[in-house]
Amino acid sequence: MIAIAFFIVINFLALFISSKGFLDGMQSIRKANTVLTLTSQSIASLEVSEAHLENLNLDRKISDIKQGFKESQRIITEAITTSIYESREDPALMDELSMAYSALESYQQSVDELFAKYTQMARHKGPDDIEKLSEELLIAGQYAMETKEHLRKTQILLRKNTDEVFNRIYESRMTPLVVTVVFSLAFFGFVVIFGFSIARRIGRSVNNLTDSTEVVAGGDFSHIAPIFEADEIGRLTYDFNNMVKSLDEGQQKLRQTLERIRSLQLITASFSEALTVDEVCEVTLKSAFEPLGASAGSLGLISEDKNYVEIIKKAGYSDEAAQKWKLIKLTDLTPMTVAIKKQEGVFLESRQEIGAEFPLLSQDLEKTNIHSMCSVPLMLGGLCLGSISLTFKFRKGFSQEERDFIVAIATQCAQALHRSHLYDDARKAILARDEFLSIASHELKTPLTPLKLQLQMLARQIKKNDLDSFTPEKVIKIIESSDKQMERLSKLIEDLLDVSRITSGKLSLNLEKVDLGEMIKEVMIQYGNHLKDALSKVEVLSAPHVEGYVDKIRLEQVLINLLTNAAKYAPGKSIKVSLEASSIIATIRVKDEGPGISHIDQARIFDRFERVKDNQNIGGLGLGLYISQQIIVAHEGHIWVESEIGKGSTFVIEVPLRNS
Amino acid sequence: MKLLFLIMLFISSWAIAQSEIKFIVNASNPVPSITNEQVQDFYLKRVRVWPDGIPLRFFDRREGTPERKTFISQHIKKTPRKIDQYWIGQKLFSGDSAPTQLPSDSLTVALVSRFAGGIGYVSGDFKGATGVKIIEVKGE
Repeated sequence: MIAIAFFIVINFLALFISSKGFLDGMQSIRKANTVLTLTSQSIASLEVSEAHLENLNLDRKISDIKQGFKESQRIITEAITTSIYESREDPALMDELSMAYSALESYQQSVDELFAKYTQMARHKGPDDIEKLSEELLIAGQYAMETKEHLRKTQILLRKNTDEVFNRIYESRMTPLVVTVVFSLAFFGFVVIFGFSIARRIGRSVNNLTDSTEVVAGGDFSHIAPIFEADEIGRLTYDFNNMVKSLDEGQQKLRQTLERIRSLQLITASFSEALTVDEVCEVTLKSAFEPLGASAGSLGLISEDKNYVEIIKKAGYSDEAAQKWKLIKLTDLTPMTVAIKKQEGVFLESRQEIGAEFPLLSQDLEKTNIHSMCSVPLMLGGLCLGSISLTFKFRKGFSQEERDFIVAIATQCAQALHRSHLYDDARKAILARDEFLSIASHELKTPLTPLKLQLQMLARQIKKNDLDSFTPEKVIKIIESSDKQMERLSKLIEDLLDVSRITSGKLSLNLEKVDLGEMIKEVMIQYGNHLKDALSKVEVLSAPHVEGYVDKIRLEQVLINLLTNAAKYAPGKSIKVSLEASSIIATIRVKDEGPGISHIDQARIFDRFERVKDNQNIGGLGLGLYISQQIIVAHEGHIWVESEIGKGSTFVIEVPLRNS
Repeated sequence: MKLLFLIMLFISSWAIAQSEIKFIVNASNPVPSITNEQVQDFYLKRVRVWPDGIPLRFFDRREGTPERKTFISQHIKKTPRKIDQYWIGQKLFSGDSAPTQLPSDSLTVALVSRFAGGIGYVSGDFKGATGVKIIEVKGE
């Protein structure tokens, strides 16, 4: 529709432009005709005026002649003036008409002179007058002739112009037709070519899209259909490409997710096989490294005093870096500590980000060529065990999937670590139990063997009727020895029973008002023989009147236990027992000059079945200190040891002094 | 008789020689002489001005006068009929009219003296007058 309207408008325009020449020509012909008429009229009038002048010789009345001449002159002047106006656009015509006008003026002037001379002459003119008049007439005639010549030249020019216009119009009579035909042909050609080209382009685009669809249908999602035109099909192709792209991305994501699930399954399997902490750490770093492309990683656990993060496993770090970051204060600003404190992952995607947030690391960034890093806390049921840290030698953007993946590994790791701790504890417990059983059997057997030997000896002697050898001294000695063994046995059994009571929570205190200084003295008297046997010298330094409600027997048991230990581990050395008290706390110190206890051992000697490792092969179940501690704890007090290797040990008991 | 004829022929040729003409121009005209080609150009209005720009006005003599006969035959070198045709043609194609024809020497002198660019011819026995001067025509 638009094309047809356009076509019609173009043709009208063409006709208008081509016929404009005709209209202009007609216009100029009209003007030429006007001027032609006017000039012809002027020439005729000039001839009339000349005729009027001729009458002068015929003695006509001068006033009539003048009147006639004047009338003619007026007509001529007006005609020439109008002609000049009409011809204002043609310089050649203007030129001729101006000269005609100028000659006319001269004519007028000369005639005026003629009239003047005529008037001066006598009524009856002589031959000289006639001659003179002829002369004047001739002169005026000259100007008249000149005027006519210019007018005729004007007419010739006009005719020439008109002819030219006619010729031009005639020659261009076919122009509108030609223009219309040419325009029509051109438009038709344009429509055909344009239509053909559009059809071809659309065809090409459609074919291209079809081909691309087939390629994509074949499974090649990386294929991009070329876009030829910014038309509807181009837009369709663009949308198609976007669709394929998002399909491809979706596929890739699916593939990645499957990969992650598979790798998480493998990791879970690996974790379930990892029993020890070391194995767990190994599996954690290995599982995190490969799928993420990390260059180095470390696993840190919070120390028992909650002040440090201790790196227990690392991989990919230089010795220098490993040494530097072996123990990290929890107060230091590092990704690991931040992850632990905030209990959420810290992901740093660029070196600038790391440098800005963790100035402590900025030195290491250059040396180790780290570009990105992340730290994730090891969470176990709301409890943070430590953190995993991974570093990358390239700029890594952490997608949500990757973040989730690292967190999943960290969670798995925390659980595995927990399991490994449980496993470790169980293993240790079994070991301790086995050791206890062997020690207990040995210890229980030790007093029994001499008892059995003595009884067998007695039986043999009775069988031989060798009753004479049973002197009262000997019998008392045998009984005392047997009693000693029995007492030892009973003490062992008592200890075991105590442990059993403690474990089952049946250890009850029988509180009574006790003077602790008196109590120590009684113990010394009661236990003095044993100490003498051990050749230990005991010094007692007691504050007076330290009284409080305690279980006297149990507290004595603790004191005896400490003294026994001192005598056992430092035989022949002096033992100092002191008692101090404030208004609310009594402090008893038992100091020996024995070999001392290492810091490591200090931590565990109060545990069940634990004994200081020694070379002296000192016997015992390792229950004494455990029972002592439990008794003191039951009193809401404290017991600890202050010792250094080679400088003896001091066991300190603090017991609150209750009034009731 | 034969001798008489020869004498008459001589006289007549003398008479013809006697009817030669002189060209006069306005006394103010500085041109000393003109060629016959110029005379033709001036008469036929092919040249309309003098070299100094003064409009040129050629005065002819009435048909039938001996001066005109001499002028036509010796200077224009065309038959009177040809000249008539020429002016008819000119009137149509260039608009020019034939020069004004004067009846006598005296009027010729009078008009030449009145127009600064005037030129005319008079009978051979013209001796000169105020306001005009005789101009030599070369190559006759």
